[in-house]
Amino acid sequence: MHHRSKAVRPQPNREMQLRAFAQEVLSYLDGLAYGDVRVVRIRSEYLKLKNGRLEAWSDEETLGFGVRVLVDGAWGFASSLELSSIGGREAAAEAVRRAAASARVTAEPVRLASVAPHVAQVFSDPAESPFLLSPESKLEFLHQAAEPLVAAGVTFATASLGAVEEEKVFASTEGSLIEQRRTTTGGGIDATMVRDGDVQIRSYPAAHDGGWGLGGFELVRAFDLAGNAPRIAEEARALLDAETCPTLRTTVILDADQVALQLHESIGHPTELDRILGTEASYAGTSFVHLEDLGHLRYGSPLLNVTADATTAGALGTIAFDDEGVAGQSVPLIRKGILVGLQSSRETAPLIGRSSSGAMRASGWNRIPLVRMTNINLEPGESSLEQLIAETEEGVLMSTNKGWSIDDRRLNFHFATEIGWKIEKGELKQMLRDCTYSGVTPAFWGSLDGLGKVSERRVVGLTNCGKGEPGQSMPVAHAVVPARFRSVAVGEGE
Amino acid sequence: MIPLLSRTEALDRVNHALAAAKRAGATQSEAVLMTDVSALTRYAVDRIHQHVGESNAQLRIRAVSEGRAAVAAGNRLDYQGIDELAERAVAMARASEPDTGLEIMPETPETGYVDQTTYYESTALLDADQRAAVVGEILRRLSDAGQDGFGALTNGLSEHAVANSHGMQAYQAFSDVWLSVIARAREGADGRQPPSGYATAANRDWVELDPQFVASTAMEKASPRASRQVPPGRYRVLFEEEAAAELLSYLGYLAFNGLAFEEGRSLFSGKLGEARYPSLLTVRDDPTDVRGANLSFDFEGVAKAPYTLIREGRVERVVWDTLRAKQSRERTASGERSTGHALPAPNTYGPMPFNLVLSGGESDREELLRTLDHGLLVTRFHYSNTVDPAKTLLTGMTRDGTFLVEDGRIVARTQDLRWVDSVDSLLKGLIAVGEQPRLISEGPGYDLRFLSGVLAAPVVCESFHVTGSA
Repeated sequence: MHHRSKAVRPQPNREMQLRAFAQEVLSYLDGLAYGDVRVVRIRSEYLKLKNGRLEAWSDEETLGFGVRVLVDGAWGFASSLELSSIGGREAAAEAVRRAAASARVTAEPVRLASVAPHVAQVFSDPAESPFLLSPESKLEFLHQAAEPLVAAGVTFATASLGAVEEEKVFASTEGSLIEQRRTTTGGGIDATMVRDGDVQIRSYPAAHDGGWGLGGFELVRAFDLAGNAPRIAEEARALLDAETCPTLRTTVILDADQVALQLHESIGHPTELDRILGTEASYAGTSFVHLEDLGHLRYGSPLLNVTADATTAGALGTIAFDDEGVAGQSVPLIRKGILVGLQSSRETAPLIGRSSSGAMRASGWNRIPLVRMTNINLEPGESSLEQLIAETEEGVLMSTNKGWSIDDRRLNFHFATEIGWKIEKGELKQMLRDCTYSGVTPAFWGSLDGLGKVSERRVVGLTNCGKGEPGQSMPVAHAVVPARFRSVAVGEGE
Repeated sequence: MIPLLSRTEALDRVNHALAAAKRAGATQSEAVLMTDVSALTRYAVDRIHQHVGESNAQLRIRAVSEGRAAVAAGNRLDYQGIDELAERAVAMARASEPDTGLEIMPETPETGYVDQTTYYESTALLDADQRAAVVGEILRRLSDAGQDGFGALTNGLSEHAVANSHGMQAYQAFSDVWLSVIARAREGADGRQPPSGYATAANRDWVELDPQFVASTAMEKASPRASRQVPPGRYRVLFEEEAAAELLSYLGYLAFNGLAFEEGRSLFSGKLGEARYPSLLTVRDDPTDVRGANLSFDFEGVAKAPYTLIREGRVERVVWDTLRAKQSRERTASGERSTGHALPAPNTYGPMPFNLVLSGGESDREELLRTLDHGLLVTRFHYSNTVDPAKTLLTGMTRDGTFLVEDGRIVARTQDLRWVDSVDSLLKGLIAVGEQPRLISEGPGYDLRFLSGVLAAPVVCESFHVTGSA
């Protein structure tokens, strides 16, 4: 039984230098084959207005450190909020104990791809820090954003604003010492109509927490929430009486927001190498992609080009270094429809004969890094959304994700969107409600026959990508354009 | 492992927070402290690939200043850190807006909580070596059977302490352990996805958990048998405990939620008292059932108690926290009071039942199977999600053990199936409920350790809408 100190975080600790503490804990790992330490502080703020009233305002901070070690070829990890010498020693010792126990149930020792040690400081401070903005100005902004919704008489008018600041020191026994600071900010509005048990919602600029990116309050200002609110309110109201999405096989055009989630679920996750190797099987699942598919698998039509790019400007998944000290980079995943790359780590990359793609990320100090998406981007095509519609004899345009589900191998998916429109003879016709579509990954991407051009590119941030045990919620992003797919199963029907 | 604090220390921290908030000018305040000492051993195929743990805490201070309120949270537990957090909460409250509802908290201290055991030393004593030994034995058995194993064994301790400026004082320490096993055959027939099986167990007391039984259950489901493709359509179905629990969890989240009910977004809005389901359906929320994830108070310190939500098919009630109950009283003179289902403030989701119980049946497994002339047996779902929350319309896939049943016997394994159906219509077609519910939990979760789950028995439903497969 492990007895630990009851001295919880001796004070004062606010002044402790995160870097000095990381280096101190690293000194406890002398002699190990490999070890790394992350000290992380995360502050997050969230405000939400509902029908003109402030429903939520919270400001949360968490500070702690994690120690990851390799002993006899097996991993151990321990983490603690106790930023003290005794806390550091105990966590290091516990990580070693866990690794030693793991080593007794490990057939093949872990081998890490080599990486040059980095000593770096990367502080991406935003133009307009949301944490420096006065509460009054944030509240005023939210009221202005939501006021047109309230004035329009929607049942529920909401406006939200959130921000996260992460400060992190990474130190490894191989000599890396990397300090990073980044701020992400997001916000959005929703209009919900309720009538006799019927509920319809419209969101802007995206569903599920609004639009998010790497940067400050300037990102949210640029959304022009108040300017879009009247349209959102009107669409929500109109959805109550709109025609239900028909059940048929037809052409589907997805707006950039929905393309982002389609890409995320059916290309982002299946190309994570840990899923392919089975180490995520017990929770999020595996992948229909096999190791031998690399360089051969036809994933989609020749129009399909996808890149894992941790360097995309202003994107939620942009990082200078991942959580095992590998530099953020751009890695092709699919070229002309063929699978050419995978997202990997130092442990997994050697199994495909490559170096790490720099995708190891942890959601906080108390979690180990896993292979995670950074920004998974769909390269643009040549068309405009108008052209895609004009070229479509019959189909449905779907916009703004409402629901999603996909099987554990990432083959069979089902998506719902907030709104849709019929397309007839190249023109948008009546609004459709309760829009859904479903398919199977390679066949669906194989039916891709049109992509929006670069001027229609949007970077969509998703704040809630879930994976791992214990669970880790990770911010990721997708630079995407509208896309058209042929012969898609649409609607629920019987 | 030992708890991060103790009753005395935890109550000292929350009371220090209240005093600090008062010094900073709060007219009302609430402090909620959660601690977490947790470990998890994760395995795949032939090795432990993750062996992790944490000591963490969160102190949440809800400060009210002249009717204005806000919440600040942090994980510093030293007095200076608590003082700074309280000052931040009060400063935020002063900058906030009046009468938002966030200032509403219980104004009467609880006089007594259900005295129940929620902490077991056996769980605290389970260490890294023992977890590795248990996992090693599971993997050895699977390997001997020609199967690969995937899963996690996690144990941990947590504490909840709640105090507010109206005299609320609550503390409880918890232990829990959770094991999952996916057994997967090494070779799939005809190049198809290999057969797999799944089982879990959760308990507050490690002594009560039988890891090898869990492994055997998963292994049996992955054992060789004929496979058959099932076309889309409607099928009579036997949902085993894992699947039944997930359906009921969605009902709790979407329909028994007092906020959704008040706002007309719940399936049960305006429908209390309706005889909606077959009389064999009774759903309770019972935080005192020791077979479940029992606990004695919610995140406002309000005492937990058993409630019947659906009684013999009739929808009887939804659940409330202090704010939503007050809003309901003001709107309808309903007389609702908090039922002890608050989440930590600020809570925009609404009150949630964390201890649902679906039980009351008397059919054993063979009797349940005999209700199926031609139907499906579903072990579990994967990635279920809402399509239309107000109608409880969901979609998902089946996973790790879907079988075709004919004349009351399992005759073949099927492929994983895509389904689109509402919990409402499935329960309207309830035919049978099994005996002996067991705790189904989703495991360690994303945040601080907090065991929750459904006490579920297997059920048979008349019509399950299968729409496709991979």
